[in-house]
Amino acid sequence: MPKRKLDPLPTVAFQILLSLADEDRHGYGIMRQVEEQTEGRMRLGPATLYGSVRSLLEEKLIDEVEPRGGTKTGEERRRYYRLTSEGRKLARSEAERLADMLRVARVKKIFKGEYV
Amino acid sequence: MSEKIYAFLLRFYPAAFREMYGEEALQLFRDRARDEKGVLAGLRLWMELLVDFVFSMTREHLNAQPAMDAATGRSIDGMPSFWLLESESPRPAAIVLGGLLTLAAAMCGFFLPVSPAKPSMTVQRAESGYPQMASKATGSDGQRDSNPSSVLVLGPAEPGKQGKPTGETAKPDDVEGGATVLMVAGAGRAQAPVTFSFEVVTIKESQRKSPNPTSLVLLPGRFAVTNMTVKQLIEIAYNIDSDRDERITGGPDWISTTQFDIDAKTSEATITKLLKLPVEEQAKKTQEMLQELLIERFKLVVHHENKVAALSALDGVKTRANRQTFAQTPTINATGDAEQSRVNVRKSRVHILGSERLEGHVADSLVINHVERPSQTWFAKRGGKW
Repeated sequence: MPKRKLDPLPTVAFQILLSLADEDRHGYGIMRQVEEQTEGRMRLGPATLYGSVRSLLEEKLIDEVEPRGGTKTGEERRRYYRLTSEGRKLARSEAERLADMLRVARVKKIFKGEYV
Repeated sequence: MSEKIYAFLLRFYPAAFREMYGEEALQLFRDRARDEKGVLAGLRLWMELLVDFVFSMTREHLNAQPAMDAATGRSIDGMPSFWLLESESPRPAAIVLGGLLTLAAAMCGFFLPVSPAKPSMTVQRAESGYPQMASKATGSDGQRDSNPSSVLVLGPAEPGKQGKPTGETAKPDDVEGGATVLMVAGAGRAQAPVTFSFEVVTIKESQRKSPNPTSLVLLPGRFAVTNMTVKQLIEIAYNIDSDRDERITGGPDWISTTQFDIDAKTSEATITKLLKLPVEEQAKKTQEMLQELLIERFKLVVHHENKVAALSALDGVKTRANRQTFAQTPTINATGDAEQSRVNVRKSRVHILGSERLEGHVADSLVINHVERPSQTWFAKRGGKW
């Protein structure tokens, strides 16, 4: 079986999936949401963002959709993206994997009494 | 100014990426430049963009390379094929080299001594599993023969140029999106009165939404394409040449956007008969078979319109005769006599070419009257008739 392009799921792709979990967004919206959810630690450049978006589209983890309410007159045409059920499933399994790792880290007392 | 610099940087990315996301990336840059004003913010923006540029450009080019490797290794059901990986025009050096190679191949076809009595072609299978076409021509007199036993033709053959076994390099936009045709064929002089048509046809809509590389395999008795639009198929079937002011008009939008995978085969007997025909005739027959396929499966109804294109604007001649419209040919009717319709189109074609030589500015347009989208996947095996 050929190896999937997004296996293991890169951090950028995971962040993009998370950013689309609650609503459809365009490229700039995704970039801002990722920045917000990582507290400014991750600011995606245009090419990195769209390179990941392309991979996610190819794997059918996200889908391109028409903007809600259509494009307003005078507004530039933007591509909106939506999380697919496959994408949601993968994001969830990735989150569970990270949660498992966090549990192990707690058991091993990595945090030395700090709550994480 | 900043936007221009970023647009310039985008030119370093692979063409496929630029086409897909170039405008989006530029839009994202505009958004960020609008929101991140000030010296420090601007500096930070450009630092991030430059880091993104260096890493992502390398990654995109590396990603493009495996696609190329995979494409060269792919084939359609064991048949050799070309995959077009970039939709942009090839470099001038590549065109020159391709032209020289084509010329060399054509010269080989001219000067190889062949026997007029027993032209033959052998097909050897390479170790890789792909069949390699190799010509083995023998001739006792050693004289030049106008019908070589093997000719490499690049680009769709043009009707009306009979008995000229030269290789031609198709310009990239001969077929919209580009498609290279490889035809290796044996030739003979006898023409048997047979019905040429595809026996087994599979049509399926390409699943991917984004444009994919187009491939085309055209061999005697075999027509296999992937990711090709109906418009591109019509261009091949009706030999539409946009460089000669020929156009396809009419039809719904999906004929230019929806891509199809088609695999059509004839019987062994038909292949044998096809191989006995001259190369130009083989190409014509295959085009007619493709026309029939489009008529049968896509319910295609077209007619030719030939007009004198703006002669007054082109050369200053303002006579009524130069602005007249040439007679239209009858419509090809899917339910009518397709064979007769094809003959009409062929005759019309000769008429057009004849007029064009005289007038020099004939615009040829193929008007689509009707076309239907086939079901998602369609397969049929002919048992006399579809």
